[in-house]
Amino acid sequence: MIIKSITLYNFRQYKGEHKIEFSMDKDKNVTVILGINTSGKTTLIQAFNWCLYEKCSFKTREVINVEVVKALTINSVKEVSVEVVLIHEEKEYIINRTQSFTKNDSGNVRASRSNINVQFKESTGGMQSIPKLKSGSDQDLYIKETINKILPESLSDYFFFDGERISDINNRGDVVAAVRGLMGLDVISSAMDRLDPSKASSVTSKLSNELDIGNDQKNIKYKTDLEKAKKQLETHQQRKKTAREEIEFFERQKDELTALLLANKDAKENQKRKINLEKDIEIISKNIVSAENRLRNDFSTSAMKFFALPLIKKALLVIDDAKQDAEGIPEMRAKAIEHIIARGYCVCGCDLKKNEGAKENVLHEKSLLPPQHMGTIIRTYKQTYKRFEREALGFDAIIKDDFSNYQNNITLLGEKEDALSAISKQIKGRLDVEKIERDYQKNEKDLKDKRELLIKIMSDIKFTESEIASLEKKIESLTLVSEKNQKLTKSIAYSRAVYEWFKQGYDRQEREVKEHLLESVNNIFEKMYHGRRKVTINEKYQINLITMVGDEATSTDESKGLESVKNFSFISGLVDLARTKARTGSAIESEESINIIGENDELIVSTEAYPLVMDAPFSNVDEIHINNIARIIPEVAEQVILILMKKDWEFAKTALENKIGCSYYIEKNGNSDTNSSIRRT
Amino acid sequence: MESNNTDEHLINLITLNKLKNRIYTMERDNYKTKKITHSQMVDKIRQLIERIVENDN
Repeated sequence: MIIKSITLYNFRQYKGEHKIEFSMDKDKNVTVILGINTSGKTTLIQAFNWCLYEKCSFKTREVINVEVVKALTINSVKEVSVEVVLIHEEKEYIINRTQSFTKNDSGNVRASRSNINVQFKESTGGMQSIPKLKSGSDQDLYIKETINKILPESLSDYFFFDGERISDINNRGDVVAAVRGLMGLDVISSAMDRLDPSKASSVTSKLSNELDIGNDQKNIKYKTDLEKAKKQLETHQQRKKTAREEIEFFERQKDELTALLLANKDAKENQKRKINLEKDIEIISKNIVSAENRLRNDFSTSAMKFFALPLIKKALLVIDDAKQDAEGIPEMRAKAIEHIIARGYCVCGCDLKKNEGAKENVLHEKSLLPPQHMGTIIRTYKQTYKRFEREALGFDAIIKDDFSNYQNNITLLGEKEDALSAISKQIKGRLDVEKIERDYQKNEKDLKDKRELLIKIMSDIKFTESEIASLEKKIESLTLVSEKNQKLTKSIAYSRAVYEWFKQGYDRQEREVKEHLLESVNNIFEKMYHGRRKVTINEKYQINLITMVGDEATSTDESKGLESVKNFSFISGLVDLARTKARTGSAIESEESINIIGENDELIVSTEAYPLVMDAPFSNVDEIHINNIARIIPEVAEQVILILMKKDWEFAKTALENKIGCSYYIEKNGNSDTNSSIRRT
Repeated sequence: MESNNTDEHLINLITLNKLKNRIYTMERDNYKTKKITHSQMVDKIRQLIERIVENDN
C-alpha cells in the first residue's frame, strides 16, 4: 500500500481544503512534514485514523474547524471531510469520510453521523464503490472490511505511528490476525475454510454428502437381471420365429388341403356313399346271418310237428273208431298196482285182504292200465296231438316270413354290393377326402394352437421388453448416479488436494513469517539500538526484550526510549517483511488468475509493501538513535511519511537527505492555534 | 509440495494447479470486496471444481 494523497477539508486546524501529495518515488520515498508545536502535526495522523477507522482522540464536535463552527449561522450546514487516496495491490482506492455540522435554533452545534465511501478503480478504468448493506446494524460492514484488508485497524497504530502516544504493542490481542492479513495468509485461510474436509459446510463435505454409496450392488443386480431378461427375450424371439414358421407351414398346409378338398368335392360324396354302403352291407350281412338263424331255428322247432300233423290226425281217427278211450289213472303203471296188491294195502291204508271188494277195485284199476288197456295211452296221445296242432299252427307263415326276410336281405345285399362295387370302381385311384378333411381339421387345430401360442409369445416378448426397458432405465439412472459418483469422487479428490496444498503452504508461510519477522526485527533492532539487548517474538507475535547476562537471557524493564526503539524495530521489521515478500513473491497475475505456484510446487503469496506514517517518531530517543532510525526506515519501508518538529529534523536530516521526495511545512496562519495551512517547500 | 491423499490417480497436475490458482484468485478478489458470503463462495468454488473436472475428462 502506498498513500498517494490526503485532502483535509475543515478538519481541525485545517480550515478549507488542504491537500498533501506524498512522494511515491521508490528511491526518494520520504515525505517530510515539519511543523511547530500545536500547528497540527498530530492532526494529520488523526486525519488518517478518522478517515479510515473513524478513530480520533478528541471529541466529535472538535473534528470540525473551530472558526468554521463559529461562522455557522442558525440552521446552516458545514461539512468536514478527509479523503485518502492510496494504491493497494495495484488498485487505486479513494476513501472519503464526511460529517455534517448544523447549528440549531438554540445555537447548539449538532453533528450528523459520519458517512464513508470507498471507491476503487477497476482494471477497465471505471470506478466501483464498495457496497453498503441495505439493512443491519452496521451498514458500513463491507467498507470496514475492505479497509481492514488494506490496512488492519489493529495495525494502524504501527503504520500511523504516534511517537508520543504509542502504547505497548505487546498488549495488542489481534496482532496475530493482523500479521496474517498483512502477509496475505488470510486469503489462504479463507480458501482452506471453504475446502476443509472436516467442516460440514465445506466444498469437500458437500461433495462427499452427495456420493451415493451402495449404488454398485444395485447396479450389479440390475445388470444380472437385464442379462437374464435379454436371454429370455432372445428365447422368446426364437420361439416367435419358430411359431411364425409353423403358422406359415400350417397356413400353407391349409391352403393345400383346401385346394385338395375343393378338387375332390365329388369324391367326397362318393366316399361318403361308399362308406354308407359298406356300413349297410355290414348290417345286411348281419341281418342275413340273423334271418338264417331264425329260419333254421323256427324250422327245427316246428317242422316235425307241422309235417307229422296229417299223420297224427289220421291215427286219431282210427283210435276214435276203436273206442279205447276209457279213463285209467293217468301215469299209473300196471306194475304199480301189482306192487300195491303184493303188499296188501292201498295207498289210502285200506287193507286189501281184510276189506271186501278192495282188492277187486284195485285190480279193476289195473285192467284200465296198459298193457291190459290202451285208453290211457290214447288219451295222452290225443293231448300230444292237440299240443302239436297248436304249435304247428302258423308254422308255414313263420317259415315263409323268415325265408322272405332272409331272401330280401340277400337281395338287398346283392344290391348294395353291386352299388359298392360301382362306387369303388368310380373312386378307385382318387384321394381319401375324409382323410384330407381330417388332416384339414387337424391342421386347423394346430394352426389355432400355434396362433394362440404366438399371441402368448408376443405377450411374453412385450412383458420381457418392458422388463428390459425398466431395467435399462434403472441402470441408466444408476449409471447417471455412477457417473455422478465418479465426477463427485474426482471433484472431492481435487478439493482435498487443493486443501492439502493450501494447508501445507499456509503452515510453511506462517513459519517463515515468524522466522523472518524475528530475524528482521532483530536486524533492525541491532542497527537502531546500541546495546546488548535482543528481541524475541512469541507465538502471538508479542515482542520482548532480553538482555544477555553471561550466557543467560533475561527479560528487562524498558525505558521510554528503549520502548520506542523496540516498537520501531517491530514495525520496521513488519514493514520490511511485507516489502521483502512483495518484492520476492513471484505470484504472476494474468487476466484469468494469479499464479501462486512456485517452481517447486510451493505456495507463493505476494503481499503488499506498506508505508510508515510517523508523527514525532523521535520524541523519546536520543540523537544517536534518531540518526540510526532515520538511516534504517527509508530502507525497510516502501514509503515514509515523517511528521516532526524542526529540532528533531536537524538530527535526522543528514541521514535522510538523499531520500527526501517532497517536503511540506505546516504554518499557523496569523499564529492562530485554530487555523493552519500546509505549504509545500 | 504435492498432496498426500490417496486419490492421486484421479488428479491431473495441470488441472490441479489451475484450480489452486483460480481458487486463490477468487478468494483474493472476495477478500478485498467481501461481496460474497461463505456459502456463496463455497458454491462458487464447488462449481469451479466441477466445471474444471468436467473439462478434465
